Amino acid sequence: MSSKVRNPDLQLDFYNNIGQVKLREKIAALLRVFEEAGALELHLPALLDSNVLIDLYGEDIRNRAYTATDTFGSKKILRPDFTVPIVQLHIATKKKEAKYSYSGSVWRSQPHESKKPSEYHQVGFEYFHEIEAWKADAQVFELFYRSLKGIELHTDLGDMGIIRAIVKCLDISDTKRRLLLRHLWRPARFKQLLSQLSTGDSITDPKAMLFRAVANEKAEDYIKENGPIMGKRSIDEIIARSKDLMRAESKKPISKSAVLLIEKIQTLQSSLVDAPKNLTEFFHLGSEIVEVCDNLARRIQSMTELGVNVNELNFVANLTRTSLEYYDGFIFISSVKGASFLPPVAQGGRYDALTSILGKGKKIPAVGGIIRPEILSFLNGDA
Amino acid sequence: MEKLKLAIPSKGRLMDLTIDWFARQGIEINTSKISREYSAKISGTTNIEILLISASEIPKELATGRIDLGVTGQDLVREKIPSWREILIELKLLNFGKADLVLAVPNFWVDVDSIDDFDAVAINFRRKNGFRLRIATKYHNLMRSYLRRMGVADYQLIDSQGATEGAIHSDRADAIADITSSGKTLEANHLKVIGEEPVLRSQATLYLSHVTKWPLSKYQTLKQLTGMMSMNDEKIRVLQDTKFREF
Repeated sequence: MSSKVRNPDLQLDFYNNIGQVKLREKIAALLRVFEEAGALELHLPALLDSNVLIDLYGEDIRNRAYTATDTFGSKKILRPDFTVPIVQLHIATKKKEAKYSYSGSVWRSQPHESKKPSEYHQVGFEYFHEIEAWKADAQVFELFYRSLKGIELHTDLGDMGIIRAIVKCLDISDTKRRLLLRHLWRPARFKQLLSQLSTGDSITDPKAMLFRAVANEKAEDYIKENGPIMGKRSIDEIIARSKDLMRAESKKPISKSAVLLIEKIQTLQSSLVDAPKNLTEFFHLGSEIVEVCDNLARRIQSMTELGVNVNELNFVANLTRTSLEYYDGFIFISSVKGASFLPPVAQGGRYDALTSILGKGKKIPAVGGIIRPEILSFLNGDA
Repeated sequence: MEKLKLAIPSKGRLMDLTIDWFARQGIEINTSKISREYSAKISGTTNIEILLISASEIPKELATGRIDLGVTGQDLVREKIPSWREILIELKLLNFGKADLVLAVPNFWVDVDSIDDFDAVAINFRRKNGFRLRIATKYHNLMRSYLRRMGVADYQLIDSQGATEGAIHSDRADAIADITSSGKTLEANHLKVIGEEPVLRSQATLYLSHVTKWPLSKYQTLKQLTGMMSMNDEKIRVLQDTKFREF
């Protein structure tokens, strides 16, 4: 026993412990602000059901999260964020309006050579609401803005709804549209698809035989010749997709001007207050874009009324939380000015696509965000 | 004097081909089977210890530094040691044990030829069936990083440690990813490979581990060995780095 007491690591732990006490104070202060805003504090499990997460995020979650298996083969994932368990809990309560707060560790697996921590704290606030989305967005943003008062921040705001609206307005086949929409969260894949769909060379030679068969109404025979039929995909499904592909082929590729517009919107950056004006040049594409832009203007107005100095905020049209899918509307990311080596101190946004999947198609509008209290401690010199 | 530890596959064709290959370099490995234990040694040398280890366990042994050299498949190393580049050196590609890791779907999926098709079908599949398209494989890390690179997201991996080709027929999976050398097994199971390039081209490879320190004597044994294999010293020069050197 005595040799353990002399262990120099224990001494280090003692200093670490002081840091932890300060960190707890930061966390408690944030939770108080969230409570005053009407949040109910939740205490959530660290081990999550792996099936739910894999179904939502795909196998890729295993590259980003820690997985655990017990001796009975039951698989769990160490929570990479709080969103999923909160949405599940909220759905179970059957309430319509609710505000929740929470704090605790999250675990993210980092690339081998990365210096990013694989365990850190999040203090968060989530708002499930019935009021208009732009109003709720503004309220949540104002709350985070207020919680971080006194820190010099660089804050980018974006809206995934804009690029989504543009894709919805494009004159392309539904198959291509679905493909583009599915990959909004993967910028590299999105770019590649766009260039493919604009040159029209997506269909390769192997399809020639298939298309001939479809044209001669011999598709079913052609499929059976290549049989046997097995698994979940049916002959009808394959014929339907083949016809889709043929139709898509005959449809003209995405016009060069449309591609230029998409590229332009993806590079659009300005001050937040100038953003609605800058978006007017895309209005001719369709009414969806006008609508998204109106929402943006209302959100800015509402934020101003709540006391946010909108003049110091930036707008970045292609701002995406690339690490997570389903953030599909308003997004914000705040970093500490002059400290680019630190991860963002706060981030959040709207995730109606996520709640709709977990709610089995039900519309459950939700917006929220997190603060990383370790960064606040660091700024105070506590860590 | 510390011995240089060289591991070769412990059974089958891979073991025979490895012994043949070393023989062609003038390195005679004698194996003897006493009761159920295999042992081997290089004739004429005492400072090299030959170990017979299952090819699938050699990557981990290399990564932990329990062996210095090992012959195994590139597929196994890349799958089991994702950060292999930092700790292992591919000393020599041995030009046998060649196989490709491929993604295969039922032959009657006549609308699927490319990874783009696969992606589109996976999206539809999830919408229609309410769960993600299942790929049976034992190469989880390789497939995840490949599919991420290709931008495919709507899939799930089903673990399959053997007879993977049959997984679709028994409705355990909708597609498979496996190693194939001739493609005959896939054909017999009415499967076809998609994509122009395989996920990975693999062959038997002689690996060098540099996770542990190299005492001078062991380093000299290695130089002697690479000299016999008529290799230049370029690849083992890293061991002279003070990081690894103990001499």
